Amino acid sequence: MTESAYLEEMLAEIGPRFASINSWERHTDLVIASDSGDIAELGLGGFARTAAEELAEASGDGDTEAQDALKLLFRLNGGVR
Amino acid sequence: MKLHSITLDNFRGVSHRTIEFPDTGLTVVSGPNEIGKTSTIEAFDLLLEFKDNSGHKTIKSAQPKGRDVGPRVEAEMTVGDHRIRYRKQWLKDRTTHLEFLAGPRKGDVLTGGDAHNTATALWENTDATLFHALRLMQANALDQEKLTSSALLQEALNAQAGRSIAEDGPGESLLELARAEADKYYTSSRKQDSRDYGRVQSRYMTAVEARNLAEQRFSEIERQLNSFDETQAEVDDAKAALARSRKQLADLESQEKEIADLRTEAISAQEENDRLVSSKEAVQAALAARAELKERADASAKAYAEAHAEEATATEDDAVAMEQEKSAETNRADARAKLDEAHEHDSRAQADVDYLTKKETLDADQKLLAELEAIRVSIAEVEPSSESRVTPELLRQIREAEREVDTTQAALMAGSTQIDIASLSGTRALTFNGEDHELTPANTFHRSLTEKSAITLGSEWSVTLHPGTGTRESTDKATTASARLSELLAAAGCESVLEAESELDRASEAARTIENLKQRRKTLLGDRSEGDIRDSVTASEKSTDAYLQSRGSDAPVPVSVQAAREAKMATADALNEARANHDRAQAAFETVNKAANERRESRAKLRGALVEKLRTKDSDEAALERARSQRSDEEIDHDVKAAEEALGHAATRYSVALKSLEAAGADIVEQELAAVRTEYETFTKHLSEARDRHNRADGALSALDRHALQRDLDKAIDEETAAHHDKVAWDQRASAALRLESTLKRHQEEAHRAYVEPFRRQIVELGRALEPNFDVRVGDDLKVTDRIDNGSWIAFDNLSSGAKEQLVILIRLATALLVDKSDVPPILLDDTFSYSDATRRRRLAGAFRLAGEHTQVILFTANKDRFAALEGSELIDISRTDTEQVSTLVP
Repeated sequence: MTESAYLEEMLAEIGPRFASINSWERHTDLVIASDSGDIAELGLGGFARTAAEELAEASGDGDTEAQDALKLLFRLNGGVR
Repeated sequence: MKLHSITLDNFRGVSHRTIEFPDTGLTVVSGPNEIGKTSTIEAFDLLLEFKDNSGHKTIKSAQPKGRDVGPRVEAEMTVGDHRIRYRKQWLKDRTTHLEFLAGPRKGDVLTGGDAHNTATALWENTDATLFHALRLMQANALDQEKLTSSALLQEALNAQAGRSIAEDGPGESLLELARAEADKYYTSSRKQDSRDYGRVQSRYMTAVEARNLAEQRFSEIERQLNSFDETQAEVDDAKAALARSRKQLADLESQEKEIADLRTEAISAQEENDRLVSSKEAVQAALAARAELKERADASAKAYAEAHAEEATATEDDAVAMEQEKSAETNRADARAKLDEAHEHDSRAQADVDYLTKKETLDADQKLLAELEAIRVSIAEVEPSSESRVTPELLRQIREAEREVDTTQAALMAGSTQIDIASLSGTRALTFNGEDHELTPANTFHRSLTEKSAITLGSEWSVTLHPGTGTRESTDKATTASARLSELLAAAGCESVLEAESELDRASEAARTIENLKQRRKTLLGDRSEGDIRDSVTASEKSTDAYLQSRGSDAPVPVSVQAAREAKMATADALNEARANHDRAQAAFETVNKAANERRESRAKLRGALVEKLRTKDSDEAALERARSQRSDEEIDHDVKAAEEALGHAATRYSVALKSLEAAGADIVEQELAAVRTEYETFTKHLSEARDRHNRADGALSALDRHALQRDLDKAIDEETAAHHDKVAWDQRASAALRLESTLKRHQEEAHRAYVEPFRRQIVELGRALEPNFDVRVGDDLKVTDRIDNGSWIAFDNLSSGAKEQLVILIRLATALLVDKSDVPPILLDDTFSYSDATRRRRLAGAFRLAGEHTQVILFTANKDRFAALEGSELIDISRTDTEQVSTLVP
């Protein structure tokens, strides 16, 4: 999850420098799966932690929006840290 | 944080004042209005906020009016681990002085900007939010402070909720970052897209539109290519169709020539057949005419025979009818004779009735005349008696004269001498003026003497009496009255009044009798005159006599009118019967006569018809003979057979020709030929049109720059793909940001709710000292939203001023009680309880005392009696002098 968040952050950052930069879906085999280790790695407490846990659980059920939200949390938390 | 003392010099109206506060417990600072209680708190704020070189209007307003001195404030307080003395003077002789009295930096002294910066740094480490929230200033409205910004309170509440403020620290930051991230994509209300996000979506929409437009333009090439191919195919198809049509047309035209030959043969055969049909029809017409002549001759002969037989039958029926008519005529004549006889009898009976009725009238009139004569005689007899000299008027005058005589006589008697002669014993004779009277003891003789009188008594006495002279006038009146009476009686021809009355009664009775007789006569006459009656009697006598003489019948005249009427009724019945018999005979006669006439008429017609039929029969037979003489029946039969045979041959030839024509399919060939010719023309036209379209399509295709359009399309597709990827990425990031923000916010609110409850519980616990059922609702922002009152929830804004004041004080006390004792700043209440009565203040005393054990509670008031119930509070009176502080302890 952390690497995925980092990848997305990099793509968002360098994307504007290219005419077009997209993932080649047919050749992309990147699967993102969060686990308790990811959440622990965030080092969160209080309501932020319960929110992260809720998003992680929804991601595990295939909720792609929750997965994106969790990746964003990782990215923001990295900035926070 | 604790405030130990504060000193004001030249601050507004205060020249110098020092107030020292105990470290804990309740402190009541009292003084009259305008003594500077509020200024003390504001001076403390200025000390913390403004540098000594500040020219802020608040600083300027602190300078005493009319004095060129600088306001100065000094406070001694504990902040964190440091006990410090901090002083500033503004406007004049600006000074900032900071001295550490205890703590890690004990002994340090700073001045100027360093002092201010160090003090500010110390202050910023404290909870300024809480410091302000625990105040209640007189000038401010009864509002609630925003306690969620108080880190100390949050820490305390989190601790109550079993959490740590440190736990939520990164969470709050993360929420802010998530909000910032969501702000990139949405407006603050999150209902609309942000400008950048909108730009991405607009780019995509524009790219889609551009691609559609490029596709549309490129599709024009394809359309033109398709059109070129389609028109080429149309030209080829039209050519092939035209070739097919041309071959069909040649075949059909060959067939058409053969059919024309066959049609010529058929027409020839038909003409021969038609000619022979006409010949046959002429021969058959001759045969039919001959047959008609024969039939007509037979029919007329038969009709004549039938008419002859019918006429003979009619003649026989006519004889019978004549007999019946004769018999009916006889019956009718007999009935007529009987009717005439009945008429005669009835007329005579009616004449008898008339005669007897007239005779009866004659007798009555004769009797009436006799009675009238008798009345005339009676009137003549009575009439003399009715003629009298006494009239009612004369009788009235006589009676009046008689009453006058009686009156004057009575007056004379009353005024004259009275003589009474009585017999004393036995009967005695007495003569008075020549009249004899007998006297007895019971019968006294009495007289009034009005004239000279002579009385003789027996034979012995004669007495002459002379009336007095006083009675003369009365005597004259009596005499006059008597003369008048006598005169009237003489006029009446009567001796006395009684006679006059009798005479008048007799005459009146006779007059009444005459009148009755006249009335009787009038009644008898009615509206007739006697002369008319006499004339009628004379005429009736003549007519009755004449009737009797002319009647001339053996039958006697009936004895009475009634008998005559009965006889008349009998003759009338007989007449009616005779008339009915006659009518029946007449009707029978008319019926028979009518039938006879009809038969006669019918017979005449039959005879006429018989003659006509005979003439027809002769004519028809003559015509048949004439025809046969011209051409015999056998010759006609031979001509008919010859014509039929020739017609058979011609019909066979015509039939063969028609079959050949039918076998050749003439109609079909003609129809197909016409259709193929039309088709050929159409295909020729189609080919021409297809060539035109093909040429136009070729020209249009040449005019388009296919490669340029393909480049535009490729470019538009690339742009749309890129915009789509961009939009998908933005959509993904936007929804992720929104989801993260909402999830964090929801969990934050849940966490807030967890620590709101201890806050609410603390307020309720203090409030129940006021009211046993006291309760409040607290929002996530730690503001009291509602308070229960008499069982109903009332919103904070709708509470009364007193209730609001109590509530905001309770909130401050509860807040102070929740925060750790070492960190809690003092509670400053400036002139509160202006809306609360003594009872409520007493009830709040316990809450104040509890808070005082926890932190400094400083109450500024102009009315120290309000806080008399605060047991153990220290009272500082600042009303005496600026420099003197008087502290007392409330027992």
